[in-house]
Amino acid sequence: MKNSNLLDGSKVPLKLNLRLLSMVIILVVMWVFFRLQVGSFYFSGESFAKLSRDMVSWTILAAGATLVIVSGNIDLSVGSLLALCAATAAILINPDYGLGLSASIAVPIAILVGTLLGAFQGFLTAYFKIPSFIVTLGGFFVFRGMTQKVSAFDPRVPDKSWIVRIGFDYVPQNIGWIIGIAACIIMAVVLLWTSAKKKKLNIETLPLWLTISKIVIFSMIILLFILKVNQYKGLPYQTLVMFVVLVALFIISKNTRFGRYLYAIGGNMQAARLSGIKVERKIVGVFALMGMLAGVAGVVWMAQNQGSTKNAGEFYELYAIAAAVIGGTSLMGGRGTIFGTFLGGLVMATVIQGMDYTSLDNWLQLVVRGSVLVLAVGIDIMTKNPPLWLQQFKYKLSRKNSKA
Amino acid sequence: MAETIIINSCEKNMTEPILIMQDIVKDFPGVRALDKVSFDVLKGEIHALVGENGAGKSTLMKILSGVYPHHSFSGSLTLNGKKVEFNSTKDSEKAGIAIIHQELTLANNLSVAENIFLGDEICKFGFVNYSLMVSEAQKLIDNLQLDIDVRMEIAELGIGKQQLVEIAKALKKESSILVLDEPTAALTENETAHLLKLLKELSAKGKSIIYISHKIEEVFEISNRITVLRDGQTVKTDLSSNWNRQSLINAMVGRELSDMFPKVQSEIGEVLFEVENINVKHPQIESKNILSDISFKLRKGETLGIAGLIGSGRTELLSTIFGAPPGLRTSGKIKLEGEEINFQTPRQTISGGLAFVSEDRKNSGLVLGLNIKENISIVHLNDFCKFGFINENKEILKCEKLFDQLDIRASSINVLVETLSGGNQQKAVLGKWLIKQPKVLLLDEPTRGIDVGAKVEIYNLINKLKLNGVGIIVVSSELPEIIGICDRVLVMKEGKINAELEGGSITQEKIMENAA
Repeated sequence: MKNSNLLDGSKVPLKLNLRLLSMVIILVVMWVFFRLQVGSFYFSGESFAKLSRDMVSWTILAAGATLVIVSGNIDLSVGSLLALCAATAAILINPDYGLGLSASIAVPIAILVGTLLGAFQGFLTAYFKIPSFIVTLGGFFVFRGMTQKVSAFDPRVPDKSWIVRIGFDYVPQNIGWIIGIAACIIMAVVLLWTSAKKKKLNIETLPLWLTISKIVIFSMIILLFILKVNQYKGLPYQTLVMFVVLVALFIISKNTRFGRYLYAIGGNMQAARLSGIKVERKIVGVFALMGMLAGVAGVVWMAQNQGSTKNAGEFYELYAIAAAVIGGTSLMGGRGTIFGTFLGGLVMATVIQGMDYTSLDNWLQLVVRGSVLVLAVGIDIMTKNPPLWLQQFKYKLSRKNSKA
Repeated sequence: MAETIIINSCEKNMTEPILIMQDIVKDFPGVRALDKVSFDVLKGEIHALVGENGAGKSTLMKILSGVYPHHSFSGSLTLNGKKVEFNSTKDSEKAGIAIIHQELTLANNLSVAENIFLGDEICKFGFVNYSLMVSEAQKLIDNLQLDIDVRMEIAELGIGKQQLVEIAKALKKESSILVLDEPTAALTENETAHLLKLLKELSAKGKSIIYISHKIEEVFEISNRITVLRDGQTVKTDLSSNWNRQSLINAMVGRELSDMFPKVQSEIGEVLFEVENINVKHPQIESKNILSDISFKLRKGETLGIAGLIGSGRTELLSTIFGAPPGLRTSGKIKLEGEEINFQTPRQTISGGLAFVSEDRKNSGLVLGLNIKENISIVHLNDFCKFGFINENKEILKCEKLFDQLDIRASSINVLVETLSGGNQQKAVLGKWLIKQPKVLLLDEPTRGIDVGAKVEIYNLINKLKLNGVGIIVVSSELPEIIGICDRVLVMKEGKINAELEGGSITQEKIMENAA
């Protein structure tokens, strides 16, 4: 009709990039701030390694939580489930109170337990229509209770078990370099190859210079990170686990049918159902995936602590949700990205670690953590979807200005 | 081209206009919904506002009620001789304008009395004086000679009585201007007569009423003046006595029906699709059926219309056939090309070759947060997948093809569908179902709320599918549309097929006769 609608949508991708950019800016500002507060130690290899290690468990949970939230659900049980999986693995390995199994058997069993319990919660949500909030709130208590039983003696894992290395060891420096460079090369090849293929098929794609600058920027970040952690002891194994999980979930969310269906279900369940999507199965699937990740995170937690305790992973469900939400995941469902969640996790980790260094009182740390969450989401909503009163206020202000 | 006569001087016995809307212009992305519309209402008159769907009636009323705030359109509102600016519905309510929308805005779980006083409860120190509220509400209801116990829950009342409660609620606010948007669409003849009588009494008491309706007889019976809108412009305002049925229809349509509905002669072939003996229970009321004993056949290349009032079971029939019944289906079979197919879930019917463009594109047709490509490819995503991974290039190429064919107006297929205009959204819905040609296409209100240009494009598309031998079932509230595009029409009433019309017997009168 009129060409005004031709312009409507074209701004959207730019907007999304702006959002990620603003997160990066927030991160940089925080880093500079803490650098000034803490001193040169803050940018040391040790500090980087610690930052990347501390965020592992709940960032793995946050990545799963992103997909659960995207599908229009929520999972409050993951902290307890993490603890239960950690306890399961620990009791299976521990020779005194438990079975003394090898970690190679115990770890898959623990992850399987997580997957099955997650799937069961999904089953109750999808087929019995019990809201996931309720089901997983139940799970939150049930799994914690089971953990207390399973982890009654707080079983330790013997030093000789290979799983302990995941929690304490570092990838040798030269292998770290190989991993980093390989990651850069794979990324470059994939991006250039898809871009070339699109060009061949005459599909619109990013201009070459943008693709290349993307590759250069990300390669620099990766290599700088490897350089930094290598100045200390190298890349922590657990950080590597986290990156593998993040990349896998990134691909699931972007390039698979399952991922696409989750966005559709969370965006409009009725439309998804009428489009022939088997909504129930996908919801069971996403909760099973979440449970599996809780298993993985549980195993990592166990490795970090060389055993399990009754209160492992307390509040982690909330950290996970917070990271996802700071990263732009909408609690209404249908919106959210793994990359955003990773940045959200980084923001959370930076705040937590930075305050640790500045030896802020514990109570104040919690206050700041909570405020950062509300502030980050609040700013996002105020810029993206301002409430009517704010729009009116702005309108009046602009009218006043134009008169003056 | 628009010939506008604003009558205030030539009126004899009526006073000054209580409301004047002057040169209203309202733009939506891609569409000018109102183009310099002027409209006025005199004290104590009933002024009918008519026009086809999408002519701009609802938009005009939303401007009057403050749904679209003052700065979102241009033009002026004058109430009782003073310029007014409404920034919200609260403002217009305060100024004495009450709107009764087509979709009722009552809280189903509350009593009639609570609804009437909603937001304005009789309170002392924050505690509701329930008994006083009930007696006041009952007084109001009795004054209107309505036979309703105000302690009953809204859900227990029929749709007709709910409509009357809505009017009572509006009157309680002592509004001087009452706007009714299609108030009789869901009413029986008796209820309609009662409502019209009530409105006449109110106007005699000095209330001004703006009456929006599709039903021409009602409009002539009740109104003092009639304004016709078409494509966002005022065609004409004149005394009801100066209009007649034909001139009114001509003014509304503004073109020969044949231009609007380019009919093609398609070869109507053998029986393609059969529906046998479908019964579906009401989801809440155990003893009631939403659909009873529905059976019909559809031939290749045939367009079958389903007409009926709102709530007659049209939409429910389509969604049941598609495998998404609104209640428990107790019996029924469907056969495609002679073979029975399961219709437990949409997946089964889609694999069989059915496609369903649902009535409400925002609630059940599109995922607004996804882009055009992702919405179009969702139904047959499998075709672009290998081992669960989406082949993005294949998907893009196919979706771009449809994007061009359907002439969706957006800068690219990566545009979010929530930013598209209604017509383009509807094309996106069609796109997702036509990505693979279906055998049977179910269309529920395919042209609701979209502009005329897009409508014609959709009719042309339907014709093209017809020629390809697709069987099409159309549900529509717009009778001209049903008459214009259908080869055969089933008229539904209270969950049953009440009549079957074919060829020359498909007329507006015949349909209404069997629907009401």
